[in-house]
Amino acid sequence: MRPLLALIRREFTGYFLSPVGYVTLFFFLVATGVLFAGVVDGLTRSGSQGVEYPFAALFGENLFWFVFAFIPPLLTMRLLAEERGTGTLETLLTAPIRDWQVVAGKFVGAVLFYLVLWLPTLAYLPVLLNLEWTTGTSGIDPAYAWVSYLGVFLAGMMFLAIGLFVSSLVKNQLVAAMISLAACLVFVAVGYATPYLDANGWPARAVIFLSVPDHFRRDFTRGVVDTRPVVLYLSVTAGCLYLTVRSLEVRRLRA
Amino acid sequence: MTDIRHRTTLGSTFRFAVRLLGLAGVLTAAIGGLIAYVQTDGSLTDEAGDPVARIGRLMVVVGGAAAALWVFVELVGGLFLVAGRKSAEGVATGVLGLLAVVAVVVVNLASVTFYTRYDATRDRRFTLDRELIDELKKLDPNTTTTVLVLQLDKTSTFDPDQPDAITAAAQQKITEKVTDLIDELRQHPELSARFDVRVLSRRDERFEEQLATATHDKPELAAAVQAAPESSIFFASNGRVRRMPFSYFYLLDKTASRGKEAVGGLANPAAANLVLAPQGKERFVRALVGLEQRKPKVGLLTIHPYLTSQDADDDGRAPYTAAGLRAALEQNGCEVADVVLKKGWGRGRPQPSAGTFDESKLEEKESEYLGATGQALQADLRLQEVEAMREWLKTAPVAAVEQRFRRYPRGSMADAEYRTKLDTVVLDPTVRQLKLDAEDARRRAAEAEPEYRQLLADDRIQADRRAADVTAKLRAATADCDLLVIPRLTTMSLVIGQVIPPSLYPLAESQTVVVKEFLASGKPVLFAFGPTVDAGGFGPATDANEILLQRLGFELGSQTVITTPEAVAMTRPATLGNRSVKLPPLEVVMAGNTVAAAFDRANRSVDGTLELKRSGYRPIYLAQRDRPFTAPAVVLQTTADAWNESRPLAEEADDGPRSRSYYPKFEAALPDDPAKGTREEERKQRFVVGAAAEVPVPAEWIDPKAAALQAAAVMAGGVVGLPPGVASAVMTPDAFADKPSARTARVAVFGHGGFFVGQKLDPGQEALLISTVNWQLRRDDQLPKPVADAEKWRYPRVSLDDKQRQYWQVAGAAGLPLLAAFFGVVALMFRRRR
Repeated sequence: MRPLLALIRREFTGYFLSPVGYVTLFFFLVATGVLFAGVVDGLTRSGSQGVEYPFAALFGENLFWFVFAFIPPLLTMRLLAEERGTGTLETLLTAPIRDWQVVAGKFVGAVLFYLVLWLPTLAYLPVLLNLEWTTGTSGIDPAYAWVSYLGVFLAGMMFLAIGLFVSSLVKNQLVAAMISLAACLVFVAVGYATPYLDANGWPARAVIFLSVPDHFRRDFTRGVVDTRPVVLYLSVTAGCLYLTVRSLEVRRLRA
Repeated sequence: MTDIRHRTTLGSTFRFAVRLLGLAGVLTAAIGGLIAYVQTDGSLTDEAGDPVARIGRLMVVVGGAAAALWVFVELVGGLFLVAGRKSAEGVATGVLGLLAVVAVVVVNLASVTFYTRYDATRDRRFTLDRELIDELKKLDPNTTTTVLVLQLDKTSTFDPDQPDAITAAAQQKITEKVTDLIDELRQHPELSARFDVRVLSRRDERFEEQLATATHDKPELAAAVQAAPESSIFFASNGRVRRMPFSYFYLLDKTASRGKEAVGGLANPAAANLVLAPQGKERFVRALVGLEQRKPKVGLLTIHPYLTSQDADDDGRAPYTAAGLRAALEQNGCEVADVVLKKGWGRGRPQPSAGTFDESKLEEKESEYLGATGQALQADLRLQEVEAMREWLKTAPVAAVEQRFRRYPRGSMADAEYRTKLDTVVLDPTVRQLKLDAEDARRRAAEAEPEYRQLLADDRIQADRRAADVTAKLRAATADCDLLVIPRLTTMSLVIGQVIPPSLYPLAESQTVVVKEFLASGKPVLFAFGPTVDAGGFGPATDANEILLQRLGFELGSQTVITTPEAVAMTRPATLGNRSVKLPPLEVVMAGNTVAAAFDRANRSVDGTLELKRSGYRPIYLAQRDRPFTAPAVVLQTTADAWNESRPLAEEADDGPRSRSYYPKFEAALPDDPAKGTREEERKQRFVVGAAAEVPVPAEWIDPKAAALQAAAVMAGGVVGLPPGVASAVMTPDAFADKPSARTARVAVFGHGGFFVGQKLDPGQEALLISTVNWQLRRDDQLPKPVADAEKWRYPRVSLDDKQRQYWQVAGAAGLPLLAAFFGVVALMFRRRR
């Protein structure tokens, strides 16, 4: 267990010691901040326009997800690819640490930094939930918030796991980032096909099943937890982590 | 030193060649597939034998074969590899990896079938109630119901043709909410298999194509979609279609959206929001479950074919037709049947009847055809006479000619000249005129004949015609009706004296007994009786229907309610446009009456623009007899400046139309006026002109014993000099006076026969009609539901002033990122310090 914790600490602090983490954090906060400013506008205007689901206006938009799709590749591109490229992976693999611990350590470190990315967005909550400071109650249903964050956490884990797996297959960080991005974009862009498909046919149902923005637009940001996307996120996460372990195993055998 | 680099062997060259071939095969198959898909418009089958599509399919086959060869060679090679220990472990790892992928796919396929949705919202707004789910599950599982959501520019028939910003926003939001509701239905794990849901928008370029796909085996659904006047949801199953307007699910409250407290109040822009009154998901479920139920049937009882609900075929008839009523009721899921209560118009005094519109049409066409044929025959006979006379004129003695034509004296004319003159001046024009008359009559007969023959050949019409017993016939015609509507249009404009004599309307006893029986069975009747302005000399202006109403507690006054603007307009000279008058709208009385409340809610959706105004009303006096009304009965009343007038029409003086000897004017009753203190006393006040109540059916209408007792009481009362109404009330035994029958009937009475008349009803008329009919038919779930202000939907608002809003926006968009950048730079500087 101690080697695992040490690895987690190493990976997590590594993000704060490199510019990648801060650059990622900066651009992520710019994107969410701009969306937040738009939501504030919708919540404070008078007239016949407005925002019914504040979190849908933040996390349900395709634009948010196109920007977000870049985040996991940036966070995971160096995890294994860089070590493979520099040759330190073999050193790591010869250390008294199992393959699954290596994968778990890198994954948990990435997830922890991913959570750090989202922490500043909690500052938006007083407005997004119309919090009443004196009584502590919220004018807007808090379920929108916590279910949205749950979904963001699970979806993020899935994207990070995909990125980690891709990173285990290639030596070059840039190639790892681009392949991860392509894989993530499949889950984001597939929803664009919906208008062209028969809503009752299986292709449309498959597209909606895979489309992460649709999961948020229809369910998470409205306070609904549907087990289908949850199972998708968890199963793909588990599958990718397993494949990453197997990939390291093959690497060890070849060595 | 040995060269440790890999050598290029025959095997490796072979493997390269196979892989290259396989890869090329995959690419070829993909390109061929695309070509075939495009050429065959996605079907991939090509019955027409398109050569390019054939090439595409060939490419798929050849490429697929090459790829298959590649896979085969790799598999065979893999088998040899398995022999080695390291290779075996590697292959095992690969197999395990593949199994992991398969497991992920299988788990997700299972999750699509077995899933659940947890609604974490405070008000469980995305959860269908268990009762509704259970109701929906009762639907036949072997039948798929088509649910078609149609988005038009109007979400309500009351929306203006060019919607303003609030209406446009409401349309968009209601459309979203309806599609959310449909989605909820689709997503529900227990229900999704039974509904085929489609969403169409008329603004979509592919609308016609999508509609054709959705309705290819449902022509009734296609017809309903094309006829829809507003955004609607259609439910179709087993040949039945039901339409529910969007407004049945969410009703715009435009008054509150403008920040007003009430209709007519001041708008508060700071409080403006989009406010919608949710009408409940149970309506949706009921619409689905109620698809199998038959449509309610409304019987429209009129005295003349012009007054029925058939489309007016010329502009002259348009002001009298009830076609607008039919259209409005059919759009709201009702059937309408016309019953014409009088026949023989134009042939003396009309007779009681109970004919359908087709019967009346046959009568009309028969009258036209036979009349024209008779006239043609007459003209021909007369022509023969005149021709014979011409012949006689040539040879008759001149004395006889002079005698015959003594109106045309011979004077000094010669005989021949005289005869010629008579022929050319008298007989020839007569012959020509008779020929023209005969031709015209034959032409009219020829025009009427085809339709006449067609109607005559209809066995059903003939059978109806043969039935002589009016009571039995009317009973049969109304037996399957759920509601009767009896309009009596008498005043169209008091200002220009456009009236229909009320004495044309009274029904025979044999007909009113059927109306009484209808009410006695507990079924509803809507009476729209205009004022008895000018008897017209055809007899009495009222009939036993008014006595029925009186017994139920609705007494119709004998005067006419007139408004000040009308009286003023009458005094102006009758020049073009001078007689136009702005009638004041009626007031809807919001004091607990369901019909009035429903109308008011519809009115709020358009911020009070629904108006009801007519010329000349009949006052209604409420005098409940058996027991008080269970709820306030008043629906409509006039403004306070209206008064009851016994002579509501202007009367011309003898010296021409530009001067009036009399025009109505309010004159308060003098102390010695015999009407003083009575209902007939002329007074300015708000008069009730619309009422609706659920009233107990009088016991004597149902129980023969009670009827006999009441008759005896009336007779006895007559002996002692009491009026019949008082006698029966006073002298009927307590057993019946205190215990009216348990059966009730929903009765609506309006004091103007023109509320529901017209080729097309205006929004106010339609709102009143639909509110009244839905209440009378006990379709309370289709009445706009009262929703407390706190339960209405509106956009959430956060109260931040301008500065606070800007701080939050800047802090979010720039502050947090800058903070992150700051910490990033500090961290980098810290690293560099080492």
